[in-house]
Amino acid sequence: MLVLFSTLFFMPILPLDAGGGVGPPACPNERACDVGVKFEEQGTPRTCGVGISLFGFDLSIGGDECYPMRLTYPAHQECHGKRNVGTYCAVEQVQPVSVEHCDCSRAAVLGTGFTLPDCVCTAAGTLGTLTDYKTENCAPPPVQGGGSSTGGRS
Amino acid sequence: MSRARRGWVAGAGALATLAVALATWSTLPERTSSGAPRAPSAATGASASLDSPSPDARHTVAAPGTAPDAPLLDGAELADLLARIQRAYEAGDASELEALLTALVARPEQLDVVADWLASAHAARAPEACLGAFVVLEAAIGLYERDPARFGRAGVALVERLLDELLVLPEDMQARLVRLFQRVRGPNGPVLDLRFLRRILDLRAAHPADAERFVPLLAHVAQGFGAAERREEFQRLFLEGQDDPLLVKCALSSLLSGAPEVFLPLAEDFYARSAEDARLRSAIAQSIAASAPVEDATRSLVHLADEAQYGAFATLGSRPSAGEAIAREYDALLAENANPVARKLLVSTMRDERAEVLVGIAGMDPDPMVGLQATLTLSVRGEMDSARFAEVRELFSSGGRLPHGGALVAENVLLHSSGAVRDSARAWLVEIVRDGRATDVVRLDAYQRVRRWVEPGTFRGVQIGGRVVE
Repeated sequence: MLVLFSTLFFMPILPLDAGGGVGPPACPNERACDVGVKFEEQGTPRTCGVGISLFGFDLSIGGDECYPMRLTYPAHQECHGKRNVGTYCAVEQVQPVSVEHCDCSRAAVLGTGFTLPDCVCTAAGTLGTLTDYKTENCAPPPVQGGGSSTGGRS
Repeated sequence: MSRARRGWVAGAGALATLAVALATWSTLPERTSSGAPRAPSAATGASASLDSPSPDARHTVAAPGTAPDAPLLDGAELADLLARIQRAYEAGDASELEALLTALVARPEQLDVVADWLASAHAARAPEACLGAFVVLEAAIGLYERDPARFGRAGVALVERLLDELLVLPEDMQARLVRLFQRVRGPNGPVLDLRFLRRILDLRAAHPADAERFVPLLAHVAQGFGAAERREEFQRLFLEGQDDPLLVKCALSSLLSGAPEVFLPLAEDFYARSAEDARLRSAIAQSIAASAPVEDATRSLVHLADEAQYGAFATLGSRPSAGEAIAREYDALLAENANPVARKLLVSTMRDERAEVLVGIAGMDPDPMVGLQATLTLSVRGEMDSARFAEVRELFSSGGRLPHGGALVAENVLLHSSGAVRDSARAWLVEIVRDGRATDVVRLDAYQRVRRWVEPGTFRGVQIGGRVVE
């Protein structure tokens, strides 16, 4: 359970268009849509290869490109106007956009005794935040004992 | 020993070894992987040049195997050598690699044999040698591009041949060759540049079912774009490849730098119509950020502002003179209290801004999420001094302007600062974990961030949501 929470940074925020807690004036008939996790590489890459010299010219052989910075946008929900009768799109929480710093290193290949040049990234904190949305019912559900969130994901 | 010096000494050893090796290849002696330099041999006739590694001396080196009548390696002997090259690569043994590669790459016609072997059925049965062949091809292309005086157009010819044969190779080899093309560099940047655009486009047209396989090859082609006559080709790419993010990025980058007044509105419209394709949106935003004129790019990204575009804003912020344009846009939006998402993203680019300016934004911007962003930008960029830390801490205190996100800022400080400031950041996180007024999720989040930075038992007995955390 604790691990689950570690990936999310929850900040309860009042629903959009909630009109000060009295509910939206008119139901927009809209639902939130899933957006998957996204990784984004930034900066000028270098190649994590083996450095050699041939006929006096220095070359780097093999290895992947290593960008100095990698951003991770967590999976979340957004509002794109998807029609869904009886619901509206509401802010649920804010999630962190994390950043890693990456550089070339030699990584061991398991069981071989070899090391190959590789791009190794280390956590460097939170670069920014993004808003996670959810789908809410415009009217309270008729049955008692449940919350108003539909919990539905597109 | 310097890298250059080591290279020359190793090269001398390579020549000594290879003079013998080419005569009786199958009996090539195993070398240790120590990479110990060997004395140059008079048999190579090259020792004088190797001892004085001046640029002029480069072309006086008589590499073995360059004689026109020397037999080319093929078949099992070639496969053996390729496997040894792969083993040297995996061991990171640069000296061994240099020695083995020198023999093969010295004669471009030998590379044709390597390419033939790679396309043959033999390669699939010899995976280690197959990997070694890619090492050889990469070294050869890189070398030929750097030394046109010696090798002429051999590099271009080899690249063209490999492009033509790309689809003949098994899929795993195709992927490997594409990665090779993406990373191999000459003296002026990526080898696979504008010279090959026409050929790649022709290949895409000739193989429509496999057209997408050529798309990654276009990643660097746009670099160095400038010739107006090529613009039509990029325009065609843009129109043809509107569902492929990499193709769009490649084509759009060139078009935006060449004719932003025409293509920026098209790009913005395209972005608006791609709301559900995050990769495509990123490609468009990155193209605008990197290639449109800075003022136009800033205005455009503000107009498109989307929380998933931190990367595009970072690209914009890294461009020369972007700082002024970004500050102007932020001030204009702040004056109207408009577009807080754009303000937040603009503030995320202010990594070089003075600390007092960022603290000022945190304390003044009417939107608390922009304020939080200012403190994140300040804390993620590096060391923070104690005075600034105290100001930031105050903003998050009870009754402060910023109600959320203290744990994120504290963790950034913990990661990037030292000494007393670092200790204070750790204490701040511990405080959040113990704060009974905070919500359970906020406390748990803080606990996850701080627990690797504190002694076990620090939170013994602390309950969150009715559960004891330690």
